[in-house]
Amino acid sequence: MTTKKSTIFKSQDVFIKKYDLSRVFYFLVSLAVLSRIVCDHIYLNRIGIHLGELFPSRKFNPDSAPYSVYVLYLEWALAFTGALLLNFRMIRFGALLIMISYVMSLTQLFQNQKTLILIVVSALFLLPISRKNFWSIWFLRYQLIFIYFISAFQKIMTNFENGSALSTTFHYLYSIEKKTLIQKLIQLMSQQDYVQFFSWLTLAFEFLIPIIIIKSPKTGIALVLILHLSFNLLMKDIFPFTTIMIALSLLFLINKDSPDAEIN
Amino acid sequence: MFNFSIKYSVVFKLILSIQLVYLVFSLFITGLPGWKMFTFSEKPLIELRDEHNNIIDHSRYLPEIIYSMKKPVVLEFTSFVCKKTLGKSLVLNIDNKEKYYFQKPGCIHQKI
Repeated sequence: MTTKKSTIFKSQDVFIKKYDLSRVFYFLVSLAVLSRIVCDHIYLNRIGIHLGELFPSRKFNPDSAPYSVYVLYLEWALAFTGALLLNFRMIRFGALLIMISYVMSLTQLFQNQKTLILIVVSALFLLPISRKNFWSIWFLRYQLIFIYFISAFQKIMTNFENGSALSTTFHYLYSIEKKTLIQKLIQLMSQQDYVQFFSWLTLAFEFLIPIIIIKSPKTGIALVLILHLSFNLLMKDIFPFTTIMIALSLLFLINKDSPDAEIN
Repeated sequence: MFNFSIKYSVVFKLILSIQLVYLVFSLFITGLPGWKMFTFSEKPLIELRDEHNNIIDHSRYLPEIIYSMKKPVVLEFTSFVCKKTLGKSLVLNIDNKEKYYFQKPGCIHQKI
């Protein structure tokens, strides 16, 4: 069992060395940005909102009208180009373009996912992840820690553990889900006992991940994957959030003192 | 390209400190945005009827996914629908408990 476990971890280390962790990180960040465009288009129907046909439910300023569709295309073009540049190692310029795009986007529709991506790319613009200045990595690590802890505390303060918030969400998800199998799964999870169990489980994950990921990054990453991929199974539009959280969790694998770390 | 000669560790620590203070405040101030994902979910049952008492399919005026919609947003949304539809007025019924009347051109809500 121990040999098998160590073999798995060894193979992970080989993967990190061979494929360069920073490359994986930047790929995931750019994937989050690109998938945000897709989600904006499919689930939010941003074009419909900017044409004035749909209600902009998460307007940043309630009195302002959405900008024109051409400005929306510019917003998407900046995000798309920035995401590509991140992969070509033009980190600061790519991050700058994404920053501009997300500031524009947030003036129109507020979303936590976008705020997180904006924080990440702003940090990358200030200083791309680097072993020379390890704070560039710790700053992003702290984002993950803050998100889980603050979210968990907020949940405790709003009695999330009684299951009502999750129950309302499950009922809504059931009403919009098209796949029968997932509908049945949601129906099963919507039972009071299960809803309470999943509420407690979510709280446990959010409180434990920041602690575990510092002590044992690989276990922490596994928990991040379980938590966010489960959410994503039910909520397709949060894929960018899932991706950026996985990207942030990978940063805990970088060892400052390790001579063979691939981050320069 | 951007070669600043600044002490990044100081800058990052300062930003993190400000961020932490803000996030703690966001825990206690309801309207302040923060990491509050799914801490609160409100989805009232709404029904819209025009002046001929015909039901209006309000989902066609909304994006595909909206997890939560608080009452002020419901009122704002109904005002939006009122301006978009051909009829002169709308009646909004929330959870079979509260009723609001919207009339063109302003489409401002009035509790019935």
